[in-house]
Amino acid sequence: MTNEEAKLILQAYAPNGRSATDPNFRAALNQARCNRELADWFANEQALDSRISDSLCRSLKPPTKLKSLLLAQRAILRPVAWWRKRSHQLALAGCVAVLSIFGLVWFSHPGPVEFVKYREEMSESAAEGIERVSEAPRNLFQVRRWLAENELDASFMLPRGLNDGAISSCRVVNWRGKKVYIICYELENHQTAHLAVIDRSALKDAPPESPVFDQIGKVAMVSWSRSNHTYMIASTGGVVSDLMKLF
Amino acid sequence: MKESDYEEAVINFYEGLYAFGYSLTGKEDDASELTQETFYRLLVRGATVRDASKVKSWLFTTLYRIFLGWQQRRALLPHFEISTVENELAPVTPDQMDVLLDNVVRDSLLELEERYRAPLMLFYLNDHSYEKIASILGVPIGTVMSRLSRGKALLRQRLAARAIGTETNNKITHLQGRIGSRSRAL
Repeated sequence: MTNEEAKLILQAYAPNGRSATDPNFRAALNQARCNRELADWFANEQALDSRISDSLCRSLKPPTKLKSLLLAQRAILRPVAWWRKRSHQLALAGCVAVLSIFGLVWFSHPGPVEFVKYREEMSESAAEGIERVSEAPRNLFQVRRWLAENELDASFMLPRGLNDGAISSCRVVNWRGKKVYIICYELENHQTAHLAVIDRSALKDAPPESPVFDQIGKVAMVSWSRSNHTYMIASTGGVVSDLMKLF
Repeated sequence: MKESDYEEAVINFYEGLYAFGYSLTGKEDDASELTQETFYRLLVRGATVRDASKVKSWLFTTLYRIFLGWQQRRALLPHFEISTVENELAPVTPDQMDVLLDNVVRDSLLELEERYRAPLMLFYLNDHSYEKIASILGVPIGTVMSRLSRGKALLRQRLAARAIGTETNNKITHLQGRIGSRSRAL
């Protein structure tokens, strides 16, 4: 191997020593050890490469927002892919159906008028006033992140059983200028539960802190308030005892 | 692709991908868009990358292919000829490198033709062997070796020209400062 051939090979030698274990450089490195002129050239080459590499890495730092944008990309709605998925179509249809049940059941249920009105009107606006639909979140962490990325309050507190539950969809509907989050859970035994979360201040007679359970026909329900939020869960075909396990 | 795998890929590779994208396009926005498009494809097609150890190569190869697609569609890149004057300059020395600002080094790289710029940037990112560079760019190993060699020579000639200019400017500024202080003293 001539010195010129060795130089051509050693020019591909990484400046951080990463190539040290690469057997393709062995012969050229051995030659540099025995040849003073080649050794000097290689030392100069490494010094230059190291400086240029450091300089480029310093001057090509990505914008500060890029990393968070890339991480958020997971949750960005991709409409075409989403609505073509049959499982999501079914989940959405299920949500709409249960929201309608919310309105019907609570309208006939004795209690404060304002609370009933909330449920009735929410179910109507849910059918027409969907603001945002997340792209198939699988857990509560993803739901919170999606809400946060959409600049929505994600600080609600859920009972232990709902924190780890499997989620099939989440969306935001508008009720009298207030955001209502509808989160659909997949329960055991192929049951589904639909959780509605609203700002507590939106209701004059919000439910108490202790959960109130109710079984109305085939729908098991529970409502409660905590901190700044009021919560309702409805599970079609479920029983109250299943909902109790969530707390 | 698992959530955690995607996050790990972003954390480990987004800076290198951005730098590579910048070296190809010379624009912050385009580099960001290339990086985002690359990770989007990882999200959509990540399942096809079965071997986790190949994610890095897959990302860089994908970014480069996206860039080539852009180039074909828009003919984006201006073409810079290396001037004959710079070819006659001695290559830059490590000492001269110390007087150059980082953005001068970056801009000198950006002025090279893409066929030299792309392998050089991958080389200076310190993360890719020449074999990986060949795989990412889709060219034979021998071509990578010769482009690295030629690209380095061209880059160093440009840097030498910038360094001489910087040194001359520094001397002029220094002399102007001395003349000014003497004038004030008189």
